[in-house]
Amino acid sequence: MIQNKYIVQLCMVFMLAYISGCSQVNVRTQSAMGNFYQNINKKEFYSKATYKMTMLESSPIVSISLFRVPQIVEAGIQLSKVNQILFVKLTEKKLLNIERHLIFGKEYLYDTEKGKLFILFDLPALYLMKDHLDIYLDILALNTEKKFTRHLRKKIVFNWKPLKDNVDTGFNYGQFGTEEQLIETKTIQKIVSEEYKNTAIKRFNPDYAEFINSVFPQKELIQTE
Amino acid sequence: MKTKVLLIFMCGIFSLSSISCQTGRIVSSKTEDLSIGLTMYPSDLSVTAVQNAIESSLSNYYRLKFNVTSFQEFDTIMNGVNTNAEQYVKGFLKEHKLDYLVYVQNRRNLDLWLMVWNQQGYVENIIVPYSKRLETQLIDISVNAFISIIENMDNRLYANKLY
Repeated sequence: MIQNKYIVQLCMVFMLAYISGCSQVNVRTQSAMGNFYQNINKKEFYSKATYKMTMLESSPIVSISLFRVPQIVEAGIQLSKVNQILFVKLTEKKLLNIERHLIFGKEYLYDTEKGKLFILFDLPALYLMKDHLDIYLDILALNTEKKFTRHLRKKIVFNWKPLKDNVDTGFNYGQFGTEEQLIETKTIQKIVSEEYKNTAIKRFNPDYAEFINSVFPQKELIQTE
Repeated sequence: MKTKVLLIFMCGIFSLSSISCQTGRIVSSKTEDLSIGLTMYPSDLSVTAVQNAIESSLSNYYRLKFNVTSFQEFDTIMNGVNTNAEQYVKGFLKEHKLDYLVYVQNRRNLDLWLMVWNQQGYVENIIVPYSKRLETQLIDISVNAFISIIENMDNRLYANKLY
């Protein structure tokens, strides 16, 4: 009889612990919902782009040629039946060595009506680029039928080459002048100096970092700031 | 005799939980512009992996110094939040000198919650429906949700981003 009493007490302790745990979870889920999705300024987002491009859902790769700097490129990627974008990860291993998540509302947005994912690329100055830029995008999306996810991998190639002719695309940048003329131009110097300040050179591949440091005309000035 | 055993057993549980609370804090020595407190549930979620992912995302790609401190006193924090969220979070952030408190909960078979409170006691959250296929992506999803919420709250990340 006494043994049963202890067993009952023990069971009650565990039941209470279990119930308190469950109720805590329930309370947590009832916390106030933020209005995060409503706060996004879509007008500001769409007004930033200086160059727009579209990519079909079935296209794994698209190549873009740019002439002016700096550019904010808006890539509209067709993605139908998507309920939510879980993340967009940008990877570039050749030059910039970037692997980071894009910021929702500032760097990517999904338009449910158009069925398009819009991504903004705030691209670095052409003059710092040694080669074309191969950007890989890993997109994880939640379908309209919940619990089904789609993982897409897209590649966007940005071509530009004022420093020398772009062999891959056959574009000739001769119209922009020689490398020396470009670097001497004051406007371009200003852009490049701005870019240099916004660049985490340490993260770049060593060869490329060395190249940037060698072509940059005001590196000593910037480094002492 | 059995009462004693039961008492010893319960004391053991309480002391173990209190030890885990005491030792659960990991403090980084970096100087910070952004100071973040991170707490996760259930405890088998890799706090260190999320902490590292958040730290590397920010330090490599933004012109900001920051610090992520993980707190394993999850129940204490959530009890405080459930009682009076605004007051508790304000006090907690002030006491630990934090800018944000981040809470990640993986409710298996239901959803993944990520909530962020700022110093004013304002909260933003993202809820992702759970599926087994998402388990390998949880860190990426958490980091994505985290940076998106933080940016939405004070506009510092985008303005300080680096190539």
